[in-house]
Formats: sequence, structure tokens, C-alpha cells
Amino acid sequence: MKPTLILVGADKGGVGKTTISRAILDYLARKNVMTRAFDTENPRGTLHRFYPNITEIIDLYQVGDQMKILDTLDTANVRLTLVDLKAGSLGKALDTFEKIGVLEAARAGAFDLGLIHVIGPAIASMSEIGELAKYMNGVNYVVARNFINETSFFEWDPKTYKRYFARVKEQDEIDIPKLNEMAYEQVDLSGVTFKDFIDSKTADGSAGNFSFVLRGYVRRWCYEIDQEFERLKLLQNLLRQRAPAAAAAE
Amino acid sequence: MTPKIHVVCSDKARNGKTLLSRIIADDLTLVGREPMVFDAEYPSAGIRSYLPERTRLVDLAKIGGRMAMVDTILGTPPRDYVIDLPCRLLLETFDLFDRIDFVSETRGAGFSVIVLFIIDKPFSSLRTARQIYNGGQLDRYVPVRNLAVGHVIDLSEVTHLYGEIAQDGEITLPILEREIIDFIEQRGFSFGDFLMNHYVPPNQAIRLKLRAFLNEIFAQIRQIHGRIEVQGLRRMGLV
Repeated sequence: MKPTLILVGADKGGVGKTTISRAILDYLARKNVMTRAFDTENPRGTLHRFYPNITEIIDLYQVGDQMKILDTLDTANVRLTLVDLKAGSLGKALDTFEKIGVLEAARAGAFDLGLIHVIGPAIASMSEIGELAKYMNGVNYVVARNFINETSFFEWDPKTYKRYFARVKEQDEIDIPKLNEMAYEQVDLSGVTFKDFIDSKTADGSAGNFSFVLRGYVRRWCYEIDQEFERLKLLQNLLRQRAPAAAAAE
Repeated sequence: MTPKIHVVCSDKARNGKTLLSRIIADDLTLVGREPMVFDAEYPSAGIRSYLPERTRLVDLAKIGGRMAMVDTILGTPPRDYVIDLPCRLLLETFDLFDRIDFVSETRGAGFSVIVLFIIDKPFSSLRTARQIYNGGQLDRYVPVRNLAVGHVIDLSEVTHLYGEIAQDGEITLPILEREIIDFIEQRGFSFGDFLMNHYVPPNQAIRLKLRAFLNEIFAQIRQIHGRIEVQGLRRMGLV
């Protein structure tokens, strides 16, 4: 089975990049797909806080850390490797991957490569899209519009949108739905996965005491984001290749 | 007996929601069920003026109030609840119930949720009642007609629309005379205390009429509760 590498990036911080990484890991865990993740927010590692058992903090520009990701894609015994890129480093990361032949290997079919580009509401958020176009050949490019923080895409009109995407041959698009602010904060404070929060479990697996209302908001949000993920070829290919036992377990 | 959550609501104000909530709470109290009441008329309070010892005032427009109510219901040992919902929060609250999967969660915790919707005079009220009914996920839906304010359903064109939402039963509130209304609207008045002769009405006629009024409503409420119990036993294959 072909491994999948997903990069999650954004041009700036605070647009929900790590939230989307967490949502993907959560979605796949619920679908019984084994995953691992690399957090390039070195040395703090936000993603690592929520998924300490499957996440490693790395410096993407260190050769040793690049080897950790790329040389183990086939042998890691997981279907998906997710890399949560540090804010503002998307272009640099793709440039590095191009230089060391990662993109070429993906184009040759060695593995599936996806890029989830999280964009915020401002037009500035889209200026990077044109610059990324040159790397997109052979990459599943997904634009994730983030509404999680109740942002409205006030500058987002179809004409402007088309202009920015003119140089990208093909992209999937998803909307990250809004999550109640207090619910989001509580998940964040408790440092657990969305699934554990819904199940009212603490990070060590013991019973939590999370508000039913907030758990309800998170459950609904997960349901809505699942609907978005179910439109993505990238993730659906992964699910199709699951072992029959995992699919049956779901 | 299954613990029950009574959501008393309407799309219009001043049509008997708080009166019905008080009667349900007092009926449950009289049979020893110790209900808890949520008064969502924040901050002025409605039913809390009558049943202060068993009522909690909650602001359902804010998440803190929603948590105070729902987390109390689901996080404490099951008991009966009455929620007196103001009309301005009707759709917002049912949207919340939908978003947090309230009915199936409470059902899982052993509750039955009964929505009692008071249908007012305009046709739009029946339309809203149907909208809530068709929103689904309700355990029991009971339309209520308050004869004192009137209702739209006597028009032959709409009786079938009413019939569709009255399949779990209905409640009719008889008309009360002004003198009796003044008597029961005294702050702190409790129907339970009245029936236990702790309140002396101005005259014997009021006593008799109010007793008849309460008996008529209690009978309808208990019939609905009885149906819920029987249906529960049927589901368990016991009848």
C-alpha cells in the first residue's frame, strides 16, 4: 500500500493550521487509520501537546529530521504521515522538498503527497497561492478556508478568488466550520484530542468532567468537518486502502 | 417512573407558558417527584417568583447559562425537570438541542423529553409549532391550547395540520376568571400549597373553580405521563 504524506501549512500564524492537523488526525483515528505526525513548530510543538504519542517535534531544515520523515515513509508501519509546518514556512518547506527530490518522488508515484493550505480571511492570505503554483504538479492541493474563529471572508469575492487560483491547475476546497469559542478554548486547555473531549476523557485516559454542552458543540463540529473531509480525494484514497478489519471496525 | 424533562414553550409571549410550567412543577411535587425548574426568563425571572426554592434562573442566550442547565440535567442524578422557555429564545434553544444532540443524550441517560408548545391565535404560531415538531429528535410533542388566549386550530382549513402534531396527546387550558387569576398570580403562590389548604382563597367559589381547573389539567398531564410509561414498558416487552 502506498504511503501518504500530508503537509499542512499557512502563510501566517493563528489561522487554524494546527487545528486542522488535529482534526485530520482525529478523523483518521476514528476511521481506524494509523497515523504519525511531525510538528515543525520547534521547540514548542503545539500539535505535540495534543498527540504526544504519535507526534515528534522536528526542525525541517535539519538533514537528520528530514530523514526521519522521508526515509521512513515506507517502513513506519503507518498509512499517513502528517507534517504540521511552522507558520510562514510553507514556501520554504516546498522549496526544500523540491531540492531534495521529495516532490519528484511523489510525481513518480512513490507516495501520495497532499498539501493542505490553510488560509485566513484577508486577501493577504492568498498572495502566497500564486507563488506555490510552481510546486503543485503531482501534489494534491487543498485550500482550507478557516471559519473556526468566526472569521468572515469579507474580501473573498469570486473574481478575486479566481485570479489568485489562475496559476493552480487543480485544487480541492474545504471550509473549516465555526466552533464555539468557549468549546474550542476548553479543548485547548484540557490538552486532549477532539475525540477524547467528546468522550470526556482526560489525556491520561481517565474520566474527564467536561461540559456536556461544550462536548456537544465539539461533536457537531467534528461531524461537520468530517463531511468536508469526506469530499477530499486525498483522505478518501487513504480510507479505501484500509485493511478490511479496520473498515469493519468503523 | 422515567424521569422527564418538560420543555414548555411557544412562539408568542403571555399565553400561559409560566402558568403551565407552574402547574406541571406543582403536580410533580404533589406526587413526591421533587422536580427542578429552569427559568429562562433572564434576568427578570418569571416562574422563580412562584417556586423560588426549586427554580434556577438561567440565561440560555449565553453559553454559561446553557452549560448551567444542560450540565445539571446530565451531570446530576436523574430527576424531573421543567424548563420555562421564553418565546424570544425558542428557536435558538431548539437549535442548541439539535447541535448538541440533547434529546438522544438525555434519552441515553434514561430521560424522556416532552415538548409542550402553546399554540397562539395567529396561523404563524401553528406553523412554528410544526417547525419545532418537524425538527425531529423529540421524544414527545404535546401541543397546548389555552382557551383564554384563543388558537387558530378551529378553522377547518388547519385542523389536519394540528392533528399531525397532536399524535402524542394534547393539553387544553380552560379559561379562568379574572378573580382567580389575581389570586394565583400572588408572588409565592403555589398550586400545591393551595391544594394542601395552605392558601385561603377569598371565597369558596374560587376554591371550587380553581380545584376543578387544576384537576382538569392534572388529569391531562398524568394521561400523557402514563402513555410515556406504557410506551416504555412496551419497548421493554413488558406489556
